[in-house]
Amino acid sequence: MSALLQAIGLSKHFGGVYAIRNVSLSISAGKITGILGPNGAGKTTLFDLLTGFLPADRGEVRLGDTLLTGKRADRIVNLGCARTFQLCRPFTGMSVVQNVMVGCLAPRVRDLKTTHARALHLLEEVGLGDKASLPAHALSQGDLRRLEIARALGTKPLLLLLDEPFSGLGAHEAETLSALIRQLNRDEGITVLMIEHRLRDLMLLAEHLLVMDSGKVIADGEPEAVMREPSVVAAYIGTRENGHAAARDTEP
Amino acid sequence: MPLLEIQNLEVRYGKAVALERVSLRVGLHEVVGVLGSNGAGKTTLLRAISGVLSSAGTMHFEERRIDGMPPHRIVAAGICHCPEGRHLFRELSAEKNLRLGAYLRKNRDEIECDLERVFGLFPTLRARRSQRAGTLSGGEQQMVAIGRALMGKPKLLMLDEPSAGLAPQLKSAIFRAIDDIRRDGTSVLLVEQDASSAQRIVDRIYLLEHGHIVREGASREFFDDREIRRFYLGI
Repeated sequence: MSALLQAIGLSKHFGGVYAIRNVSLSISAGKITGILGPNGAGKTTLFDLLTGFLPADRGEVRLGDTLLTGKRADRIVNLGCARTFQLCRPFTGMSVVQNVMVGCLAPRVRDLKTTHARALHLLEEVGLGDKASLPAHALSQGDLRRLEIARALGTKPLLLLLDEPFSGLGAHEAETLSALIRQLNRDEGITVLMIEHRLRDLMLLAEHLLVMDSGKVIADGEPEAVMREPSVVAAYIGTRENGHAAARDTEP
Repeated sequence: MPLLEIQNLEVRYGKAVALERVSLRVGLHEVVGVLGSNGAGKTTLLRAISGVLSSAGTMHFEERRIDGMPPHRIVAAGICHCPEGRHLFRELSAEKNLRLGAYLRKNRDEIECDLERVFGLFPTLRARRSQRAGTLSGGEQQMVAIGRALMGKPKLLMLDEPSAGLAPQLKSAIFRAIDDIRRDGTSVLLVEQDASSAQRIVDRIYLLEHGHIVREGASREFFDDREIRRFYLGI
């Protein structure tokens, strides 16, 4: 399987704190890869480095044969690498459909004759068809998350990076979004890299898992195997005894 | 008389009705959960109670009318709100954000004691206390937001999606903490999408749909319902 995205020796520090330490990774084309890790492990910072939102101190990132390192975020989007944010960042003061049109205006896909129609189509696809003309700020958090995905899809990405897409969604809503992600991956061939804490939802989607802790990748492989590794269990889920204690403590 | 009693609450955004005929109560030492799909009006409900949204209907807190009060007086009355999306002072340190939660309190010893309690709850924050809040990770920011609400020493703590963005280990820590807070005598009104975690600590549930309360009841009987389990727990 060929690598769509490759990072070699990425590092980033904030003041004295290393957020990312010498991280190398390779994301296979056509797969859904999940990133797990405790809070503060560096997951979002890694996304920021991959997408040009933050400059890396060291290391390089490639999308296919193209070097992304040093490129501006909008250039990286235009090469086919789009992302969403943990806290949704819509363009306020614009309608829902206008937000998606902004994505559709990326030079790689720009076609003024079809921009509006494409945006509407994408909104249908994510389940916001009936809210196209509302102001973006009127949407609930769950709907904003869908809006972010539609806006990213507007750029026709090869690689879609999702930062906690299920956060703030109920079980039923998460299922609907899972189905959409799977469909984008299978039918449109979009490679997905997603940070997610909701293990059950993630395990059903991801074909590959990366686990981060303290700025490093501590495990990388098949989901089932990765979740059996003691270092992963210790860093992410907590020890068995803790788990039991937690269950007992919260018994009504 | 319950701690918080709401009758016929109504909120509109322009012409759109966000909440209608919502009546709800929270008793002393009670953890009450509000469930519902996105857009059902859960966040709007908390914002109306906090006074940051204007509403019609009556709200009593400890038998005093609070509807129509400005938000700072509602905080002073003993209701603290941990909002969805954190809303920290990004340029201030983690510790300053926490201390601002105690802005209306006078007793310095108690404030120090509560700050220690928050650090005990979230040890990461002790290590990061002087770091600018805007540079903390998402999960750490969520911890500061919850800690800041606790620093107000509320009689009623309102939490909007407290577990959003938290890894499993911390998520169980948060829910354990909510249980401790209740034991210390604080009531909690909880909006949470993670129904399976919420299920373990809430005493009663209100289910909101399209701005109306369509169901209420004890947590246990609520989650015994097969339809509810499928929809909210995904099992």
